[in-house]
Amino acid sequence: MKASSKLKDDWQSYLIEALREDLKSRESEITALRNSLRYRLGGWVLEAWPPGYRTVVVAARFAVALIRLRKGAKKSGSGRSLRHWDENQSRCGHEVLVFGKQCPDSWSAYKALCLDNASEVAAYLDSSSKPSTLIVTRSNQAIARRIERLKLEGWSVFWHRNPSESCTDPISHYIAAHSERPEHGSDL
Amino acid sequence: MRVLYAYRYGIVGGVSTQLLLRQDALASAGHEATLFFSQDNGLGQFISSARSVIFGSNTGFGKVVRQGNYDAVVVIDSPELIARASGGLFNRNPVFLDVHTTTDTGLSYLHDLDVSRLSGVMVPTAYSANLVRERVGKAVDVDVVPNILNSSVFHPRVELAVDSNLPVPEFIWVGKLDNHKNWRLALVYAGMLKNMLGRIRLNVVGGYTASEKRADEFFELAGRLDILDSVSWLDRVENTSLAAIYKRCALSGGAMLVTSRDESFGMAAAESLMCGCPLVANDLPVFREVFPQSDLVKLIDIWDPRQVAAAVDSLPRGTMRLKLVENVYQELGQRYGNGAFVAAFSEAIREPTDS
Repeated sequence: MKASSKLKDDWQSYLIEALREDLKSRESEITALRNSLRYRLGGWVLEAWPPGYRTVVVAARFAVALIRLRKGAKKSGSGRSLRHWDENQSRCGHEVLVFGKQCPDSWSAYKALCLDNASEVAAYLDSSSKPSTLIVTRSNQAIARRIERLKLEGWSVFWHRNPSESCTDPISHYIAAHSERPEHGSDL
Repeated sequence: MRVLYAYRYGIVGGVSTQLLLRQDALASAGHEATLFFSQDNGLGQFISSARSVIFGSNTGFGKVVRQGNYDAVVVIDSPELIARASGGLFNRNPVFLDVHTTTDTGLSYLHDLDVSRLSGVMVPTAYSANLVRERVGKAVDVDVVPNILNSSVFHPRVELAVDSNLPVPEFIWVGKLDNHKNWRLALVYAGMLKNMLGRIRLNVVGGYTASEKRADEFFELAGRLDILDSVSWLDRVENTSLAAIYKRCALSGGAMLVTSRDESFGMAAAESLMCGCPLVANDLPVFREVFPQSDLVKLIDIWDPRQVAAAVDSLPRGTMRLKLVENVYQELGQRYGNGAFVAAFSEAIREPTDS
């Protein structure tokens, strides 16, 4: 029996959800196009002619738009690590990198660099040329999205969650599923 | 022949990587190509100093053009550079436009462009040529100058560092986590395939620049679909590693999933095929043009889960797949090799080929 014959119809709701997102993005593309200076300029030219009071209003609007354009809308919030890690710090002989306030007891024999700031860890990971060991003690998307790449580059990644913190979110589950050796098999 | 390529975004991948391949192809044919990027979005750190690559402002581009005396200045989808591309008053360079974008928003700049002042327009596919002609009319020739596939990295004989004992079918999806790539659909089908086949793995490659909000949406949907252990998000991957993943997917009986609603060429999909990894892809006109007819290529209505399931069921595996791989590799290599590009490019700028 072919595997496809076992297919059920319960994927429809997910497909509809994906389709809705697709439609939403198409609408936002059109909105972006209509809001673009290029598009609006055409309308302004029509409004500004023949010369009169409207010409002054449109000229002022045009000047404001130009100033905004020059300032530039900088994109923010991307996954790119915003700062560059100082390579000298990487060369200080640390054996493990810990994402968290302190190194778990079971790793106390190792010389650890503990960083609690996710963007700092991300910067370290993105600029580090030498694979090492990463110990993740709490959930964070900036770290989760890098785990598989790190493993491909030769890193070992361990999940040592803080038992006092709740761990029911999908990011924790992802980190646990993709780390080499979850601390407690039944934690999640 | 001296060529200057100019593009806005110096990113790792996409058009920027294509330009590096074109630079090498032109160099191996005895020509000289310089690349100019008006933004360094991460490409700079991967460029060796031996390459003729310049990062600078729009004003800096004007200087480069005036000093260069080029046989062709080719501007790619960056209208702000076109005005400066022709150079000084008494030393004008022929200016060409190369259109790689295929989205309505991306192509909107063509409506305001006076193409009659250009020496020519180039596009990578006949599909793109139609899109451009619809917007610029018949005022200028549109030449198809094909992209180059990197056959030295992407080929059927890629060696795997790990053992080839692959316990679960592996699939791959490549792209930024953009809406027009329909990344959500890829996750939905990962859930469906897991339900169909038992354990699977979906490698999602790309999304290094995805926003935090998008990343949260990604993990949240994967959680609801119960595929957090089946999905591996590789936010960026070097080409050699990517080739190995394609090969692994091929050997495991999996495929590459392409859920995009629109593509300008389908570079990643073509590279996957070069490594022998079959495609289960949305039936886009550009794919019909670029990919050879083969059982390795399943073009379907990507919104129909039954078609996706049937395509995965009928993927060629084992020796049947091996028989098809070499033909596809040869055909793609011929159509999208260095020679094909140099010949088409030379023709487009009316320069006779050496061969």
